Amino acid sequence: MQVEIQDLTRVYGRGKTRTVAVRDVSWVAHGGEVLGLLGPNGSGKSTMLSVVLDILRPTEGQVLIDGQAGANSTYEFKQRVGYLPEERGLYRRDTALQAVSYLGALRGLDRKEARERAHWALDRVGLSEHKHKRIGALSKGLAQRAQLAAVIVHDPSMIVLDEPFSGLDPVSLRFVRDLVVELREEGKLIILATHRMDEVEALCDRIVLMHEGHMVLYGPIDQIMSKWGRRVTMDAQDKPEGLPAVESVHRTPHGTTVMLTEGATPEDLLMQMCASGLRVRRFRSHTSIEDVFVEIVRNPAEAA
Amino acid sequence: MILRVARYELLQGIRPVFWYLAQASLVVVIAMFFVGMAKTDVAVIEAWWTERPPGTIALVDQGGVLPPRLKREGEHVLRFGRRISLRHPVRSFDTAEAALEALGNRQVMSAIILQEDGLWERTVPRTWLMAPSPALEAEIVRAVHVEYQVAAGNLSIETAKAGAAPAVVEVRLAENRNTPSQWALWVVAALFALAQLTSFAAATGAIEAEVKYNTRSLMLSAVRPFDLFIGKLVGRSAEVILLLCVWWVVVSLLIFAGPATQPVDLSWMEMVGAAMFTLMGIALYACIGGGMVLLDPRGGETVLPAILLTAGLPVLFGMAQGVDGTLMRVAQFIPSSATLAATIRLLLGSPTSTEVMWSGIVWTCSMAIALPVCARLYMVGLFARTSLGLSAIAEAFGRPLR
Repeated sequence: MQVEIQDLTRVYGRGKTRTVAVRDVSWVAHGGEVLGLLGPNGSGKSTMLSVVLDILRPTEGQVLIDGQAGANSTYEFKQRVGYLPEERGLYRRDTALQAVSYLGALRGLDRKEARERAHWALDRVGLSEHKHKRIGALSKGLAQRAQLAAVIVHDPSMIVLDEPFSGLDPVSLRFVRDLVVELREEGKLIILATHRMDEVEALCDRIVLMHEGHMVLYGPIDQIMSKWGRRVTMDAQDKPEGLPAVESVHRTPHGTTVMLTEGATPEDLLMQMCASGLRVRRFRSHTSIEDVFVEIVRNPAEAA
Repeated sequence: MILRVARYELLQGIRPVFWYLAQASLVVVIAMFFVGMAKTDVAVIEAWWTERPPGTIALVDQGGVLPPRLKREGEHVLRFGRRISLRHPVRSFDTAEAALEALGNRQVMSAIILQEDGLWERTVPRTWLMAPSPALEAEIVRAVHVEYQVAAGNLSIETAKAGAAPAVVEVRLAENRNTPSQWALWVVAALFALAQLTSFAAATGAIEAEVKYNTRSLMLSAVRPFDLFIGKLVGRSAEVILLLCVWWVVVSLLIFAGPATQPVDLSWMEMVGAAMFTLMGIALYACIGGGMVLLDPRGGETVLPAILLTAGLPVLFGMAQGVDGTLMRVAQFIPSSATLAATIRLLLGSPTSTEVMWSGIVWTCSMAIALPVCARLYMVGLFARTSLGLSAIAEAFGRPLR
């Protein structure tokens, strides 16, 4: 399955209450990969997912499923998708088995098949002993696992997980992470929206970085890291121009950004600066997505 | 997809075992109430002929309103055969003799018709059918069809005036012998009305679930919102219909085991009509309840009582006046109470076919408006990200929801 978003804009409200949640975003994701939607709260990640799943309609732009515009509003598409929304919830009066069976039935399974698959899904998420307990009686972590079972019960080819790591204990966190890896290995397309940068770095093949409704960065994570990982921000008295490790230097309101030459490391630069007598008050190398994100948010023109 | 949602909602409604026990016990309580009423002694007026010219009847009030008047010489002497005026019936009513005015204003009243061979009585709603002889019955029926009808018994004033004969009246306490054959109908009417109003609560419970359990996004990713709404309504309406079936079984058992062994004075057409209006009412009230509840920030606490009062009050006042009274007739044309009033009148009163037809038209129009509007309101509530006020609702009607 391939999902493509073209020039997507989504606006809430009118007049004084008008808010642009997502502005002119485009990306594409393929089966067998994990696409990470990254960004702080309110950056438009959940809105974008709601549009992909046809819960919300786009104000402008379109969603293409396997190249077909509007295919996301069909029941055929809905039955190929598993969704873990940010607002967690199952009918608390149901047992885990009933809740997962019902959602399986809504995703196109017949009654008997839905029940059999619900057993399988609950076993897979480690809820074998809690199948017949009411959702309301389960702990938060176990209820979230039940919800994960509902995501995979119908063997979807696309899985959308909105903040799947929030509120989980370390054991459940590891479990969700392993599940995502397994599902990717099964060839499923996984879209992961989160503000947990560390998880994205470990799990995603491609990322979309969102900030205040704008897409500020998009691409394969290794390319992004190789590009942004060669950046260093510093607060130095003089520009470190002419040093062997420096490719280019830019002044920003927050200091100086240096692009390293290929093969050079931040340590090389620091040593060369010390050797040449440059005084450095602050020195930071971008070795994680979080660093990249902070840098981009501080200096969006640079990202562009 | 609608049917899958409907099936789930039906099972949700009827899953608890105590549900059946509670519903069955409710019927028993209602039945006991009416049987108790039936067994209560009432003031009965018995009358004997002193003189009865050919083609006359005596009309006697069982409820005890008329004795002081009927006892007065002359006021109860009403000869049959006077010319029946078809003009100005209301004015005729207003200027009627005191006894007849009282008779006309008396809603729940049995008339006892005396014949030469003894006391002969019929029950309340079919007063105009009573007659001492087929010929006289035919005459009264003919008169009733063309004349202004006294609200209590559908007797025209002129007919009543013309039909009464001099009688000796005596008041005594006696067992109410009219009601046992009718109590089952009262129970059925009460349950049919209750079923319609129950569909409000059933639908709102299902509709609220998405907000209550935070399942909005999850459900909407699997089902289109309109399908979800209709599925919930169908499921919860089916629950209420199943509820009616349980009630029906219990009522049938009570009828066979209880005092109502006399045949019920009701045609199949009337029973089927009442059942139809009940189903129509269930659909309408479920739709309105389901559409309105998400607009109430207090989860239906404000909206539901208002809707129930709008639907129930006209019928309550109408029942107080009489099942065939003016208020009940008016209630048949009020969208919120049309099905309730039509159901009750078909079971306990004597609505004309035109009145029944108009109630059906009112329901059709109400449903045609309520369904899209309520579905829209449901979606407004479902997609709303802020608390809803009238301005938010008005705005939501003017732009795409999603």
